[in-house]
Amino acid sequence: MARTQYPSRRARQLYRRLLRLYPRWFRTLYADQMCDDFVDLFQTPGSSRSLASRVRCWTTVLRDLLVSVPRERLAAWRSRPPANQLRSNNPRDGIMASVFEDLRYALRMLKQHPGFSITVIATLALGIGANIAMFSVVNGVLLSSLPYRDADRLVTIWNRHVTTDVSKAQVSGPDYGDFRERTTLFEDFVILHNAMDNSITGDGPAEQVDMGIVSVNFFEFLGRAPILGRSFTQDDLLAAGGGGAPGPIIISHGLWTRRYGADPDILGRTIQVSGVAREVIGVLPADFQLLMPEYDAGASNGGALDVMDVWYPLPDRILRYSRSLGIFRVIGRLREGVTLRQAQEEMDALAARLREEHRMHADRGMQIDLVPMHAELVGGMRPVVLALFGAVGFVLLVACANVANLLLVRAADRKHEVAVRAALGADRNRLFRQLLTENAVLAVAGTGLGLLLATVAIVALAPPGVPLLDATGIDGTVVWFTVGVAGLAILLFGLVPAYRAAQPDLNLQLNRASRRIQGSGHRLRGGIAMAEIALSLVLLVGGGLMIRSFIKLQGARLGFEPTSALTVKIALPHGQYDDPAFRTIYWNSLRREALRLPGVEQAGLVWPLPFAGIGGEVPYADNGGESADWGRYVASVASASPGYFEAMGARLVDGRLFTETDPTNAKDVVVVDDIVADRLFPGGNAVGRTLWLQDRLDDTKRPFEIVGVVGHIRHQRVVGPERETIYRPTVGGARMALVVRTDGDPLLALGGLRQIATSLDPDIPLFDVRTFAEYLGDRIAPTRFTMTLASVFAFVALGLAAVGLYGVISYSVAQRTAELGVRMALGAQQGSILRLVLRNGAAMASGGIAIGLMASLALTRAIGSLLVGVTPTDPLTFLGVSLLLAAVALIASYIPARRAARVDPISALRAE
Amino acid sequence: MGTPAEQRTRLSQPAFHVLLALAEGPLHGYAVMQHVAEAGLKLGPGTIYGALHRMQEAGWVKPAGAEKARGPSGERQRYGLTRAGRTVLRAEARRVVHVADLVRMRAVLADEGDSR
Repeated sequence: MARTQYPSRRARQLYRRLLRLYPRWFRTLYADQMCDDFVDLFQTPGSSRSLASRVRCWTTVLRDLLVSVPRERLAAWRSRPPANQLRSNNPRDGIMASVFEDLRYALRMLKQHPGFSITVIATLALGIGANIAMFSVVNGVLLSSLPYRDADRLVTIWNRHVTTDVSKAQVSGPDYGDFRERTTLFEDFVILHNAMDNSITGDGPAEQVDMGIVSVNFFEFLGRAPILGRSFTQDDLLAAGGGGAPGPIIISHGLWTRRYGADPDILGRTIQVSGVAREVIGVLPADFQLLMPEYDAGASNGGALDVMDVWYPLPDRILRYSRSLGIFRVIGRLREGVTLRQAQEEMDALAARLREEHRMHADRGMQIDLVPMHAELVGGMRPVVLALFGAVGFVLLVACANVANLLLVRAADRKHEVAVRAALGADRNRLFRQLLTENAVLAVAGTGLGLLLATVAIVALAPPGVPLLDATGIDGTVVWFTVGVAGLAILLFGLVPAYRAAQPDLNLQLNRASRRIQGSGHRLRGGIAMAEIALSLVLLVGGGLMIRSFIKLQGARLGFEPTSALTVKIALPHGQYDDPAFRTIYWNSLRREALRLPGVEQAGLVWPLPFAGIGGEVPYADNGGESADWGRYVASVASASPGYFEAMGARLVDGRLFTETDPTNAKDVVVVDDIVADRLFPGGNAVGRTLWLQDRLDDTKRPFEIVGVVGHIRHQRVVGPERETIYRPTVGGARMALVVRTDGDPLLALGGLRQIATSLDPDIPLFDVRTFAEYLGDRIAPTRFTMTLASVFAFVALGLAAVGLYGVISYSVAQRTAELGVRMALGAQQGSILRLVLRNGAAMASGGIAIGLMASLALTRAIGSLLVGVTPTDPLTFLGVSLLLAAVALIASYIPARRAARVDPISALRAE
Repeated sequence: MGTPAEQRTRLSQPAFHVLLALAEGPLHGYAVMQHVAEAGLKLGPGTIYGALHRMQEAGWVKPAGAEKARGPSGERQRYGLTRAGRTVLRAEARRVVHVADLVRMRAVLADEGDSR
């Protein structure tokens, strides 16, 4: 058998070189044998000599090295004395030893200059910590996947009505049936309806809960099984639909622990849900959450997540309800390998067929939209998170620039030390390595502290209402990111200073007079200071724009008076209250009794409550005939009782508000807001005119008389365009919100309201007790959060830049003491010295500001979507920030300049 | 350095397989490697010699003459079991057999049909 040429001489040499990784004693004993084995390994009889087998052999060898080198090194390290006896004179063997030596030396140097070390480590920790914290958020919110089975293939499915410009409309039962039967690219679908007006009674105080009515396959589809009991089955449906016992329920972990003390015997127990006894068959895991926002046209970041405590299987008959009744949220799972685009094309085709088949779909211009479930949930957060992530990147750059400057200054101070070591024979590479080790130690310490800061910050600064943020933490990805950032930081702040410092300039040390020469080091430091100013200007502009947006939000005109108003929601259970007469009695009594409470000035009922609910969207027109342009205008329709507008503090523009007789009057009347009035009757005089509304269920049109016009009451967002509202008088539906205006703290009225509710019907709970200030706080919170963080980042950067500028100028003043002394000895005035130094600072500041302004103009566009009422190039912000930065730069240079002007010429020259 | 291996109640997997390879008689390092490979364990030279070294220190393995080789060493060191090494191997083998009995008794492999 012919011997192969492999392993070649080069391969064998490579292996022998790799063996140097082992401790010396190990090599002495085994290196020769190992080389023999290496050759044999590649020449094993029977093994083919193909490339693949070579790769296999090399894999074995390299894996072996990876495992055994650390083991033997560790063993050698543990038994140091014998290792010392074998100490070699071979310089190459000293690499490991010299690394340790560098490390020890670095630690000693840093301990000797605690002020410097602490400053650098703290600065780095701030920059790196902020980055780790923000990256954890990016990682947790934007990069993670939802806690469901095959979550990346889940899509939410919505209707869109082109004609009436309604998007994210919920889907009807029959349409859902068509999805299931007439598509091929989907594995499966689930359907969900949130029935909000449910109460649990009987086994404790009445409690209001949301009930999720879901298709039988719901939990299995999401891959989340109950921790106790079982999921729904088809049999549950048959039992429920067959006129037998009411269907069973699965309850949330929250309800189970809150109301039933985590009772393990809960299974099989019956619970009164809205007056119906239902058997509990399962308890969901604690971390189960429906991560699918409720449709909310106004909020840019999607709607709120609803918390459902009771789950009930959807009866089949609901699927046969009218096609016009879009009351379901639908989630689908794409088949493996199917792209979103292919699935969307299939749905587009289906939508086209449905438009042909159903007149109503054609009228609405119905489309079907697919949105990846993850994007649906966090899409709105994306710009905020990315903008803040960009901001912390800038903070890190400024921090690194600052540290680089400190290191450069110190490098200049250490010229002497470096020169001595060079003269004693240290080679340049070794010096460079040693200085780089020092920087690496700083970076590692800064990263460690930063990691700590980040862990605290994630918990302490978590913004409200960000989905998935609970899951945010330090995981493997974040650790890798941290390592990357630390490495980048070393490159940014450590490489150049270490390189420069390691260039021993013996001349400089020989000729002390040359200290007066301004070297290129000064230019480099000035450049870095300028970059810091530019970077912090960009951050300040971003922060300033966010502050301006926040002020706009705070000062927004809402159309009502949010202070001193308390709101509670009440839902009447089925059964007795199905009769409108009983409902009327309940609501009228509630309102009358509330008005009697001390401190209560006004009380009224409404549904939906502004900022807290979703109203139906109804097409309207100024006449009911063929000439009317149906679909052109769509309004939110709300039900309001007499007293509602008064309790809200709304502004009456024209006509009158609702009176006690309106709800029961034979004549249908409405109050509209000024947007409706302007649209239909631009000339004014809307009062007394007729307005037509289209019924959602049967498409019939009905006329109403406009009796009053109120100023628009904002109900979805604080600023920006909103849908107009039409109010119909009511004495109450099954579910209403009571608004109470008080003359003092609105929460003081709460006790009285609870008493009234209990005395009227103890089984009906008040829920969602809140003030408008709270609702608005929630709406403003994301902007407030972004603004706060952006401002903090901006001011940290400003502080760092100021310190950097101060450091550079004061160092150059110290360097130039002799020169300045000579100038003064020759008759220069204090003022001219002051000007000389200040000019230096002003040059750096104006350069930095100019660059920063240009960068800001280019970059603020990126945060345009986060701004409210302010353009990204807001001149006021740009000007104010530039002035602020100029002032800070001036102060930072003035302090060293004054010191320069006070130089005593005699002592300066004596030092020469 | 001490001999932690003696105090260990269980042998590491590489150590057990190296001892097992030497059970039939002295071998050189590469032969050990091949024997171990038969048991489905891919161990490289560094791991083998590291284990041999520690077991020499523990007194389980001793050098057992050399055989001629064409490589740089000129000859290859062979290693054999000591009496202590045989004892350790026997103890560990009993444990392994016991585990195998358990596996058989609990019919872990029964539902795999004709699996190995």
